[in-house]
Amino acid sequence: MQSEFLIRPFGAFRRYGDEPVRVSVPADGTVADLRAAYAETLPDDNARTLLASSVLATDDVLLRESDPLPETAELSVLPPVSGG
Amino acid sequence: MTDVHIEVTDRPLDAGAALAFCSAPGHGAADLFIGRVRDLNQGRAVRAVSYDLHAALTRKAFEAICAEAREHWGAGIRLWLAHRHGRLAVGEASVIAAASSPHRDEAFRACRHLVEEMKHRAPIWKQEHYVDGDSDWVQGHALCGHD
Repeated sequence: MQSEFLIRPFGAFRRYGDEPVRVSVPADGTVADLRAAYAETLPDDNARTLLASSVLATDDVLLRESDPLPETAELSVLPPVSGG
Repeated sequence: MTDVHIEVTDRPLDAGAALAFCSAPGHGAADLFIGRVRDLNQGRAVRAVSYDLHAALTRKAFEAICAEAREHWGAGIRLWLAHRHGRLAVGEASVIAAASSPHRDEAFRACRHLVEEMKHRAPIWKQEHYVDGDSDWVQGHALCGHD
């Protein structure tokens, strides 16, 4: 069984579009599987390099690779930050 | 926490309001930081900056940062942390941090804590728009997943 998620881009990921990207992973997967699925949607190695230093998150917490899939289907991808 | 003001907005920031908030009869010290858009970064002439942010996670990060400051420098301090999003011109304020306390050491340290932690932990991103017409996202600090 597969689970579907929408991943919203932030920061430099907006180079590749502002719309959320839909990814599908096995329902018993982990956040690492989500990352791998999202990586496949990216257009080039620069984007995948950016992803390597980025974090997936719900609206409440930043996710770790080993975490089980979150209950919410709406996630965000957060590249390195530069506020202030 | 009524001694803490956290704000994420697309409207101009108000330094006067920050100082007015960070005030109490027993507070002999107030410290204010204003971050503004500069006209030059790494040799490139900047005409504007656009700030992107994840509003919910930014508020959570700000709450945690302010809670830490209260734990380190006393629950009686008053704190203000506000960040603006959207397109800002050179000279406009992108962030205001302020702290007040009975004595100056706590105010200085707490205000610095707010600024430094915000820059490393808040999901906020800066895109610079250059005079030559180009734009680019500024390189930043990688976030970590929760413990």
